[in-house]
Amino acid sequence: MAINPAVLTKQIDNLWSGLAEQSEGDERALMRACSLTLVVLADAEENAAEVSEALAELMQTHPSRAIVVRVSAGDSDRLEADVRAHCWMPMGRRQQICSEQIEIETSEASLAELPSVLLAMIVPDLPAILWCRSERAASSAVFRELRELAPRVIMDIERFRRPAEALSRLAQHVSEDAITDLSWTRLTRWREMVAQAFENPVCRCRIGNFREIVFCYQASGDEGIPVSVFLMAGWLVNALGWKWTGASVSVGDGRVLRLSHGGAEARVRFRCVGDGGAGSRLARLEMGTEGEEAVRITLEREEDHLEIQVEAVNSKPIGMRVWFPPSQDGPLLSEELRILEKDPIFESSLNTAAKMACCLGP
Amino acid sequence: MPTTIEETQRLPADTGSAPDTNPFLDPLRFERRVPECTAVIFGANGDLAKRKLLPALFSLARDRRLSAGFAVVGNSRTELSHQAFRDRMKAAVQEFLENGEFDEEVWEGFSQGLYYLPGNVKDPAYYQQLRTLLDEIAENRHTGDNVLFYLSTQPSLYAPIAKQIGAAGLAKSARGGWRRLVVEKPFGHDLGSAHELSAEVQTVFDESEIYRIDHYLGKETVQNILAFRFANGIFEPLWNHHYVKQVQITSAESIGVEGRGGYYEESGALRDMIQNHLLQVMATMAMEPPARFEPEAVRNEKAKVLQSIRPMSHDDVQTQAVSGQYGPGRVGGQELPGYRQEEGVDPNSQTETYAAAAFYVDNWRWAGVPFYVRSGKRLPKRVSEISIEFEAAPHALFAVQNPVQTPNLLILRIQPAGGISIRFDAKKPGEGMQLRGVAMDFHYGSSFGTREPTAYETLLIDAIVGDGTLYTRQDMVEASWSAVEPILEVWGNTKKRFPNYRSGTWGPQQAEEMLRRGRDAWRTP
Repeated sequence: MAINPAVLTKQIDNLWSGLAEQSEGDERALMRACSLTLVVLADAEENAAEVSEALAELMQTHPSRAIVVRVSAGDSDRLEADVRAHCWMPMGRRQQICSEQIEIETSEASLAELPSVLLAMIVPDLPAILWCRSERAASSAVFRELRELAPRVIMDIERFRRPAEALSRLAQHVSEDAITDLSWTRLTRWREMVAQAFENPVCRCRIGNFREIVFCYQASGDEGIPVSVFLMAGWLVNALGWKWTGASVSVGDGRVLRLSHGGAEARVRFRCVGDGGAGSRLARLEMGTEGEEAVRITLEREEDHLEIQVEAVNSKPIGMRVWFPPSQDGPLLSEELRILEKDPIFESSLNTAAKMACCLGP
Repeated sequence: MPTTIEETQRLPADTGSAPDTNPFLDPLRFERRVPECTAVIFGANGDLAKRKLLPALFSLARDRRLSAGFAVVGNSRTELSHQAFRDRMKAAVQEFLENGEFDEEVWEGFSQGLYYLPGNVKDPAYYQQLRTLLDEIAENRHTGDNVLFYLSTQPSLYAPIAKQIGAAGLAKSARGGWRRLVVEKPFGHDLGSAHELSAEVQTVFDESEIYRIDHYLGKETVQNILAFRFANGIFEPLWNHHYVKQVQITSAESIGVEGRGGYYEESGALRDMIQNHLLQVMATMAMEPPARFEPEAVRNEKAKVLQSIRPMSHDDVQTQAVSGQYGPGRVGGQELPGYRQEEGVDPNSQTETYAAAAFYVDNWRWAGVPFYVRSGKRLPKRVSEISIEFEAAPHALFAVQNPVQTPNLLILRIQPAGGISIRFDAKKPGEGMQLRGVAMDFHYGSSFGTREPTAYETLLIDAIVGDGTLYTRQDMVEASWSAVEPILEVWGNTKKRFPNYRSGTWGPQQAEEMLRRGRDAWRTP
């Protein structure tokens, strides 16, 4: 089986002609919209509805030519394609907006044929983004070639079977390509709240005195520390300027990574608080200073809210709750699609996170 | 058994002392840093605070855009406890929240930062109590002694409050915090009073600390005019008198004065809408590109446009300005009262509920291009937009088949559904060269899909952050008063034959005639 890009292009043209015929007349006018090419790599056995839902949501903010590639296991020579349109009617409008979607089914063995097809199907003059949810594709030899097709690559390694290994691989590639990962995007709101806490002058004045960070995470069975927790830890450690001089790991009340700061010990503690039923994720974060003028910042997730509390000696605790619903793939991708360049903060956090994962083990 | 790790990565240096900057910021992903502060709202029991300010602040808190220590001190003369004030504000937020849903748990945290201090704003003793409360809040909520004073009272109290703040020493922080003053419109009643108000307020606050709020400028779609013009290379070459035939700026309301007759009697459409909102929109549309996107650079360019508006002589006013007042009408089977029948309105009122004017900007870019500006109440629909009509093609190649040419238009819609539309001719499918006008639409809501912040959310955050780009400056206010002053003088000395348009129509016939004289016609939005 093979895909002829010229035939596929003709199919797309026919699709649009057909849609235009159906919508003749002003009342049901139709608009074709495209702001980028989004190539989605997913494993064949993955729930197709999840990707479709994310794309349907995404199309309304980033109308795109979506090329969804489903990769099955095995050595068959399967390589088939189909085209369809995503249409929606914006609220209060009479005009339908439509974007096109190409579905490609392939096998691990035929992945090598994919770059030549994609190269022909990427819309010229617009950015191309690769969203890789497929561990199979990410581990294949052709992945490097696929990455080169897109100036920005969005991974989602928390979905992978061995995320800690994927974290390490990601760290190796991150300096070469503009890569990001949705487990990092899921942290944006947490990071935003930490940054906001340090607008508090009491916290900022004592920034050099912070000596302990405690991560409480939810995980089931042998899942280990979630990738997102490592990334958060990497980011905080870098921003606080903690050093790896004489670093060590110990096990007690959770696993503890001992670093140094200002000549004193600085600790990052990882504590599993059981399975919350919502998958592996960060549940609570505490940061504290030592000394007479102690400050403690706590962020805790509760259902659809995040509670932040700042406690300082000689003053009442200050608390705030913000709306914090679970992250959906559509809005996460939307955030990433706003960034087309390399993300230096992610890169440095990833490097530190990979180093921590290596020290602490799964 | 501890594991030793070699240092393999260059990390930021140890920070023994307090850094000036926040090392946790991420400019690629986060909003700007929002400092801790206390907002003191004078007139906190009034309509504006209940309908706009508190709902906007609550939305900001819910969306993680305010800091945990953010506090509000409400003032009015009514005696209330902190808790009673919180309860009132909760009811107001529940009723008037425009975007998203009320969230009880978020309110719980947000309301802990709400305080109330009743008192007479003309009494110096009040400000000593205010100082004590602000000190307590700074201590307990770590606000860094930053204070935003918000004047939401009747305008006659603006100058007295500013002076009392100054006299009590509250305009400067002894602990390194900032102090800012937000002033609601109207900024004066005419040029003289606007100048006087600025002079009085400036005895206490520096101009850079004064934020004159014009909520129109906080609307996303008004801000988008700047993005549309200066982020795209394809429109700016056409943005001048060589290609633009005329510009129309319309702000229409379908409602009447809705119980605000008393206020409206003192202002009228020209003062209420054109002098401030619509001339600011016109300045945004007509300004030169600023050298940098910084508050002063942007405001300098807007001020230049307003200062370039050709002054009208009293004779010009007769041909370039039209006033109107709505009479009774019937819309959708409903009888509507005329303006003079509204509550709080003089039965012989001479106040205009409709105003239209043709302004000219005397500079190289806009020489000879009329800017038709109109605003009215009880018009057929609620709509605000800028319509730019381009010159026709120099040679009408298809005139035989299409004797009536439709002009190319660029419509910048401000509300209700913000967006941009370009109208041009296209060939109808089939034989011959029959043309038909078609539109290319960009719809703000459906293209970005995210919740648009309300104008007050945008402007409140800007004031807290210290960004005055969307606020008006003294010279801008005075230049816009200068532009309308001759019209106010002539209308003030003329007995007008009101009412002169029916409720539910597009205004008085004289407004149509005004444009017809220039061989133009109002666009029907």
